[in-house]
Amino acid sequence: MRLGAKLTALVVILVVCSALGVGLIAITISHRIELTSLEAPLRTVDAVGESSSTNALANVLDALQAANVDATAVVVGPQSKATTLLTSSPLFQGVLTVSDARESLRKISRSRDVGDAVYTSVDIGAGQYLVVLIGTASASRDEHELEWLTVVVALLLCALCILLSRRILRPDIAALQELEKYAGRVTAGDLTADSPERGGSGEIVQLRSEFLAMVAALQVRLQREVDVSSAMQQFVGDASHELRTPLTVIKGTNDLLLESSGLGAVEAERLASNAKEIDRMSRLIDDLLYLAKMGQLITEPMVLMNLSLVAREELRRFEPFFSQRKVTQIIDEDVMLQANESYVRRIISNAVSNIIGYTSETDPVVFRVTRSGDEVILVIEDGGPGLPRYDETPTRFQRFDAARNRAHGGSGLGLSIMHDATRRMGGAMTMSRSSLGGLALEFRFPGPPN
Amino acid sequence: MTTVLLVDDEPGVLAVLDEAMKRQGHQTLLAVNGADALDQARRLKPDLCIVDINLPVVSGFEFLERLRRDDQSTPVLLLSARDSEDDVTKGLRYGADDYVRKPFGVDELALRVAAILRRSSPNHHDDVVLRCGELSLNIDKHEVRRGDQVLELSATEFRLLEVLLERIGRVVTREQLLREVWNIDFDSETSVLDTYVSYLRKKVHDGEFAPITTVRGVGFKVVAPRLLS
Repeated sequence: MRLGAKLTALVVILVVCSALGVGLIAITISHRIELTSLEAPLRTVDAVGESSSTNALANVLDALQAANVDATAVVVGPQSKATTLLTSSPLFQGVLTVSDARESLRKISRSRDVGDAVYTSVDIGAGQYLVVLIGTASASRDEHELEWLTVVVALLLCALCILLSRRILRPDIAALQELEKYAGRVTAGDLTADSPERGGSGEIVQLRSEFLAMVAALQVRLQREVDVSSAMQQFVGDASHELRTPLTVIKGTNDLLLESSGLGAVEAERLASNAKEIDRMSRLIDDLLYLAKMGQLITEPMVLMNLSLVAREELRRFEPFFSQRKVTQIIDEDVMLQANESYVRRIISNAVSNIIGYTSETDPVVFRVTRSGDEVILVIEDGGPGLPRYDETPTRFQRFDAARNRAHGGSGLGLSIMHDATRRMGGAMTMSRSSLGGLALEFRFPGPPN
Repeated sequence: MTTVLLVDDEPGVLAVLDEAMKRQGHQTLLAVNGADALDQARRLKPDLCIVDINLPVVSGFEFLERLRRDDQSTPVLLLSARDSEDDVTKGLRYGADDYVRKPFGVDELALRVAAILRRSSPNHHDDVVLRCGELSLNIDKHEVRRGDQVLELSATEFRLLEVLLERIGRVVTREQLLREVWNIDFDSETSVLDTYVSYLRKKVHDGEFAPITTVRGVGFKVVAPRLLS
């Protein structure tokens, strides 16, 4: 429910309740006062009847006549029929019994049986009573009319209040709506959106200024992050240049020496060994810079890609190395993934390179690309020796088999790169023992939005 | 004789480039900054420029852009120590003919230079043919012959023979072959290479004519027939 509607409903309830409450109390009080004024002549009747019981009938009638009271006077007795001595206008229509008369002796009474009237009776001897009644029908009618009037006034007040509350609340509601739109644009990433217009009550003005201050702080922070990122980018670029330049000189010189004529076998062997180490160093620098570059990005440039196609393409590259292996490919058609394609290719080629480098040429391999619920799953398993332990997160330069790793010329950063690249795309990599006996790498990524 | 202009602000790199080019029989011109390089390129008209991207004051890109304003034909090979894809695209867009990442192998550089010079030579419409005695490999026709006989080679076998013939008389390491033929950039104890070399020998060798030799523990070498005897 919107705030404006809520406030209007609240005002309406308050107005209706208070108008009806006050109106009805006023009506009740005025009705009481009217009844009291109607009862006054009856008190006179009681007083006259008490003072002279012998001549009560005549005295009462005289008193009524003298005061010009519009009343009905009826004589009732145990046997005799009621005799009407005076009639009022409007005509009294009710039925009176002797027990009614006895009960109202010198006392003002009302009874539903008798009708719309207040009455009192006076003993006039011989078991007979004079009952004097004054009609209350007009007072009741007035009361009903007033009740209706109250309801109508309440409704009119209600309409007026709705109009007024709308008018008073409009600037606040408009200011809040503006703020809401602005917040939406900020959430969508537009931190430089035009700030909402001024207006609204004190609290709303305060809320807006706090909100704008928050966005400004966010902007400063983001800018700082962008600065750090671009400084880092610059650093990685410079480091890349600084590390590779001396390596170029070493590699070039080594190559030139290796190709010189008249080289002894020992020298040639040493230079060839140097060449291998230089290549290893070069790969190490590549991998380190790749990791650094991944870490410096604030957001990954992700695109919608067909993982099935990319996986098949990458595997085709390595096909010559799989000629003696049993290779099982369970690749579902068109499994789509929101990802950085170069990361995905890197993950697959790293995993496959490891298999080629660290397992025997006949060890079986299984590739799986599937969709499961909201997730995209890539599994690469082998029947090689596996790892001595399966840590949750691979550490940098983790070497499970140092001697073999050196022979392979790996940087010791391959698993870290796969792990970090997966995490940066919102996925998770797990390592476990495969049912084939070797390493099972499982990559789970969130599926693309529908 | 061809003249190659070498531009790099690192004296060490420049020395390596200089020696590598001289060994290939080229004359060299040296420059350590973009402005000087531009001046030499305009005055001395080298046949090829090898230029580092990361130069002080006038960068390699700027050199290329300014050179291309009045010289569309001189081939330029860019060198870069950065591995940003953008650099490659930018370089090629500015009119570079090729791109080599640092650290480069002298061998690889020499091959690329030879390829660029072949393409830019006035008679580059002639087919490029690599030879070893009676064996010839025509790159453009994708055809291998031993004497008059055409040999049927698979795509991988052809590429393997091409890489070996390009470096005739020199050892090609296992890593180089894996990298250039299979695009695999790591050492591997795989037997794939040996398998393919054995296929190739079966098709290419004929009695006394057996130019593909194994250099134990290092790689393979194609030996010219006159050295065989």
